[in-house]
Amino acid sequence: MVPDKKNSVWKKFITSGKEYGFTSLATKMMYSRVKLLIKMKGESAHDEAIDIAYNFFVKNSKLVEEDLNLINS
Amino acid sequence: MKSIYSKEEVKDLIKSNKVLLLAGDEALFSGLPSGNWIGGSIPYFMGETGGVTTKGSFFVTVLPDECKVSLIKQYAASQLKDITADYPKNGISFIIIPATSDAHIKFANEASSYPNLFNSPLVGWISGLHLDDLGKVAPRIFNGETQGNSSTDAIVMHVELPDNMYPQTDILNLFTQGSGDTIEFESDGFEVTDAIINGKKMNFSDYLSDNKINLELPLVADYSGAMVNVSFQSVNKETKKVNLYAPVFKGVIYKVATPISNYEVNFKKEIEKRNVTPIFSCNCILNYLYAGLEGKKTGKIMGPMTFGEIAYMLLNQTLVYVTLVEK
Repeated sequence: MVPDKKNSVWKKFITSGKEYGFTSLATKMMYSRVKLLIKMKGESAHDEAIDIAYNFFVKNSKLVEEDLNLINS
Repeated sequence: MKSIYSKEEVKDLIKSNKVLLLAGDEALFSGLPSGNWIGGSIPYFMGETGGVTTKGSFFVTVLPDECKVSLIKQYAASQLKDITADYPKNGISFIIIPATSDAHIKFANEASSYPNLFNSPLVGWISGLHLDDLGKVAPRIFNGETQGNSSTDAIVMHVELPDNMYPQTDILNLFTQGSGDTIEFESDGFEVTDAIINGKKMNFSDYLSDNKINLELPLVADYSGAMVNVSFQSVNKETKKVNLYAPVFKGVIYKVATPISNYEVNFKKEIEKRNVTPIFSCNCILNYLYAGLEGKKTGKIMGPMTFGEIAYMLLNQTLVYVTLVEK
């Protein structure tokens, strides 16, 4: 299940820089986009980055279930 | 499986309402009937008998019957950001963009910032031409619905899938980051003057020649486990500028790729390991040329050999493919 957008898991996801070992190409590219956004714009891009990640997982929750489990764990 | 078709056979496929992605020499497209198809110019293919260069036949991707066209639409360069608003509810969007057009450049530079880009697969390729025709004809896209064509616009076919079926996009890139220098850039773009090599700024052209870098090896960036290539187009020793087939991005770390000993053999090994049956694939003209793939096979994978591959963003020297998953 996709955590609520206000859940702290999202802030951790966009700022940790952790390599999760995602399997889906779409997740890998989305995550790279988010990391680059934070690297270039810092805290001012947090909301935008969380929107990108949250909307991605909501839209693709069935297809990238394994990747979603990785960020939830 | 048959992939190379004569013009007459393609006309029959169109008339039978098949959903098609066509690749062929520009001149072949004239007189095709309207229907559920889009196309792009390119005469290099990986067909059922191996790599082939021909101006007399099409490479045809016949999409499965589960793929229903929801929209065929041309997008001018200024409209590309709207593609994601037209994404199907559950499906795939196939895109073809003419090489060197404003749409090609704009897409390459800006796609990753399009809203909701990654929420649904956007895959396709950059159309081109026979290398003997460079400067004589322009790469084109073809709109099967209107029977129009363009050397400036992108064409996209959005297709819907049944609710129990999901598209999965992946890439096969044999190149990995080498163990050499870390390369970064101060701005985005296809043309580079300076680079930051291991933290020190220097002219990139000088760096490449001083270090005898093999320009057939791309720069490789690690996108969270996905290796993304940027291929070299040319190095101008007078202007000291380096031209690339895809843009580099500020903030991304690149390395020159590790050489591949035998592309054909290694490709076959990797694709057999994955055991996939794609409904669509395309590969790069540079792999075709550098690895000498004419007459050789890349396992059971077939598709046009293109001037750039698209899996959400522009890629170089990479195979892109789509499979369907039932859930």
